[in-house]
Amino acid sequence: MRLAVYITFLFIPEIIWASDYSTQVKNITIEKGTDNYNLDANISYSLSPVAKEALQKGIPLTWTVLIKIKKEGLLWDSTLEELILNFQLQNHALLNLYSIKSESTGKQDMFSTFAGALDYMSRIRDLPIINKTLISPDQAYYVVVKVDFDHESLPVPIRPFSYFDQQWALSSSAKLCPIKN
Amino acid sequence: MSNKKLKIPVSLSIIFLFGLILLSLQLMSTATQESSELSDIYSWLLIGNSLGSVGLFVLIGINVYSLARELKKREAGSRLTTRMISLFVLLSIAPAAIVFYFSVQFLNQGIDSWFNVEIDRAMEDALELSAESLDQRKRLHLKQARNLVKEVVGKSQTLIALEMGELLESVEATEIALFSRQGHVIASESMDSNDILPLLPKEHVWLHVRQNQDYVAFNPTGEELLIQVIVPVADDEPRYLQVLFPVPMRIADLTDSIDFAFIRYQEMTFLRNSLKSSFILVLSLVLMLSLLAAIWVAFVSIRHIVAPVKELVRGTRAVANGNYRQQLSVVTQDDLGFLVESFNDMTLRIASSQDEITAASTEVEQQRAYLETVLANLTAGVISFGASYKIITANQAAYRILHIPVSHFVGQTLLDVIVRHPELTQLWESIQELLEEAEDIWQQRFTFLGPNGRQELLCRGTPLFSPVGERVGSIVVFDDVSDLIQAQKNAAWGEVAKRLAHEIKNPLTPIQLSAERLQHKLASELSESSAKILQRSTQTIVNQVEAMKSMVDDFSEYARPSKKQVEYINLNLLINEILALYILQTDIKIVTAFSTENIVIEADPVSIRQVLHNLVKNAQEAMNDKGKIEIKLDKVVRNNTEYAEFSIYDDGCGLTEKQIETIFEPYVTTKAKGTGLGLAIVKKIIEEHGGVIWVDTTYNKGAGFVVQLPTVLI
Repeated sequence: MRLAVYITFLFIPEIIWASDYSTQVKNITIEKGTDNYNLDANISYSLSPVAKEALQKGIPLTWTVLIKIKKEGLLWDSTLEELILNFQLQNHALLNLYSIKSESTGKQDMFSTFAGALDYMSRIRDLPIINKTLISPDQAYYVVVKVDFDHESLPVPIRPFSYFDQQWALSSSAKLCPIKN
Repeated sequence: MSNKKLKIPVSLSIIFLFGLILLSLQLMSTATQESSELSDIYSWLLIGNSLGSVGLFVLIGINVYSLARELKKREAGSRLTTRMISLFVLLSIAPAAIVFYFSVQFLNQGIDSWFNVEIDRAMEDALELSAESLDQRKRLHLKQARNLVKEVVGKSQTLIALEMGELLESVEATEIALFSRQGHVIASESMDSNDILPLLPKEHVWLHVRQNQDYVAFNPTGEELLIQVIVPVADDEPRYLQVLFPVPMRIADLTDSIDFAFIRYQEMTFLRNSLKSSFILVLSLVLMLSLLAAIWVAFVSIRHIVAPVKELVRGTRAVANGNYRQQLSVVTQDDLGFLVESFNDMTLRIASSQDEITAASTEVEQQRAYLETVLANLTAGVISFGASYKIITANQAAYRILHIPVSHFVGQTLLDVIVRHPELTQLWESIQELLEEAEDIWQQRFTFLGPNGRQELLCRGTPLFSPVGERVGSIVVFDDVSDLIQAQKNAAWGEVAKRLAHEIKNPLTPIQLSAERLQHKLASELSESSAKILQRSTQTIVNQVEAMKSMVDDFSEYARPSKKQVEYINLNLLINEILALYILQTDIKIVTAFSTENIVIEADPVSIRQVLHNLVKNAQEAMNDKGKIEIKLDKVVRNNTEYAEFSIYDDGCGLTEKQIETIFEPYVTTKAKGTGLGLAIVKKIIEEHGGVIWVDTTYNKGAGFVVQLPTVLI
């Protein structure tokens, strides 16, 4: 049934436009906590020259980390939980700072270096994803993590073209990780 | 009717479509502006309009395909529609292309004019100035922080905690805090009494300061802009002093303003080409959508305009094909509608006239059919001729009388018929002459040799004139009067025979008796020589009287109606029986060709035997006892009746044309001895039995006779 998930994600343009600048989801680990299952993930963001230039020019770039907890079924896998994390990265030239704003939490963090900002976005630590009581021991579950670059947050003039430009193909493919009961 | 009510008018649909397109384009135009709330749905609007364009393109494609098929089939109105649409497309695309070209030029120039080197430099200078100003402040606060470090070096945690307030006031900071190496708060003091905990440095800040480096950075917190300074405190146990300095409100506002303006300008610079492309894309989409909509509307409108013309062409074709009842629906009340109404009036009148013509034609046809029936059933032959003496009609009786299918020669003259049937040359030439010369009704009797022997025709001809007196043709009516004339002749001969019997036979008996009495009374009284003379004379008288009696008896027999005793006769057997009497008599060879099946007739055997004897004997005498006689017997069908055909041919001296004409008349003979009644009696017997006999004129090696008698089925 994981195949169905892959097929589903096939329809996402970023996969079609997969390029050298695609984000990569690495090292997903799921640990059983006291009440919840907690997720750790490392994400590698790599910006294309055009995207870097846009960032330097002050254009905010937004990524959405989509985390889905799925239960395997006979014909179709069902989604138990869905979490969304947003990161909006912007450069403030005057203050020489990079800000990362999260719409989901409303929190804003400032970084004096670009590497520091990327490092902050790339590490997800101890994120509670599902309550342990919702996981049945005789069922198979897995987590899908995918990072989408939000083209719609780009300025209007560049928006339609970004869908067809590999320089803006900054999304990742989906990465799956089983949940061990 | 209900469907008509439900149907949305074309004009309303067009207005709705254009309204929809204008709304969509307006939304997209508004969405192009960054500040607009519609910018969030910009992509969807773009997709929607693109799909609209594709939809219109498909609609136009279907219309073009449909029009091309109509053109190929040469359907009514297709060429007019093509011309009108081509003209419309040409007239709409040309100015639109010009406007598009100049719009793109203006757009490019307009966007380019937003940017120039002076503005770039001014913006960069402003940023540098601001950054320099802020950096000076950062350097100042770093120096202050370092000075504070000197105040806390070597002091205990308790003492430092007590002096924190003074230190804070001395540098006019917002917050001051001392952290252990592990990042734990050792002591802190804030201007805001609500702040229990100091601002905790981020992890990446810790990484930076743990390398014994000073950390100075702006830290925007809420509406306030702070300068965060962290400097290491060089003690036995490394500690870190964090001081937060406020940036004055005015400077913070100016910083925000310059930051915003610079970012905005930089963004515009980055999007310069994209902006052009974006505007051109929108402009192209607007133009394409408008043009496609206009072309589609042109298709709909022109088809609507051309519809009455198509109807008219269809109607005209129907009329040309003979459908005079064609009525067209009047859709519009304009000039074309008036034209359609006029067409309907015209077809109505034509249909009415056509009905009258059809009725008249039917009546004429009925009359003609009636006339043809009458003519066909007439016993007299009728042939009508046109002005140039060409045959127009000929009835069935003409064929029956002449034995020529005259109706097959319709459209030809009688002289043309001669070529195919030369046996009637004299007859046709005579009639042709009369047709050409006669100015009034004429009547004439013609004799000719037909295939069944001599025939006599009584012809009457009438020239035909038009109402204005012009000769338009003529008509010839003729009857076969052969039988009538023959009957008249037979009756006349019968009368002669009766008179002969009465006037001649009666005196013969006293003459004979007187001669015998003279012989009886005077024979003894005369000398021997005289007696011999008397004997010879009286004997001659008696013989001649006997001969005359016999002749008169023959005439009587010819004139007297026969008393037939009919019975079934097998003709094959009867002929063979009679021929057996003649085969051994002379050197004449008799050849027979009989039908394999038995042919039976119902007749008086004595009479038929007499006929056969007469015919065989005549043939035998014609050949001087030497030659060949050919006898045939077969069945033929004539006028749906089956006949036994008996024919006899000899190779004797034959018959002249004149002899053929009178051969069956009494007293006609070619022999030295004979009364000339033989064939006359034969003909009489055959006719009394419902048969016919004629001389076969096609046989030219001698004489040939053909006898036909009706057969019976047993």
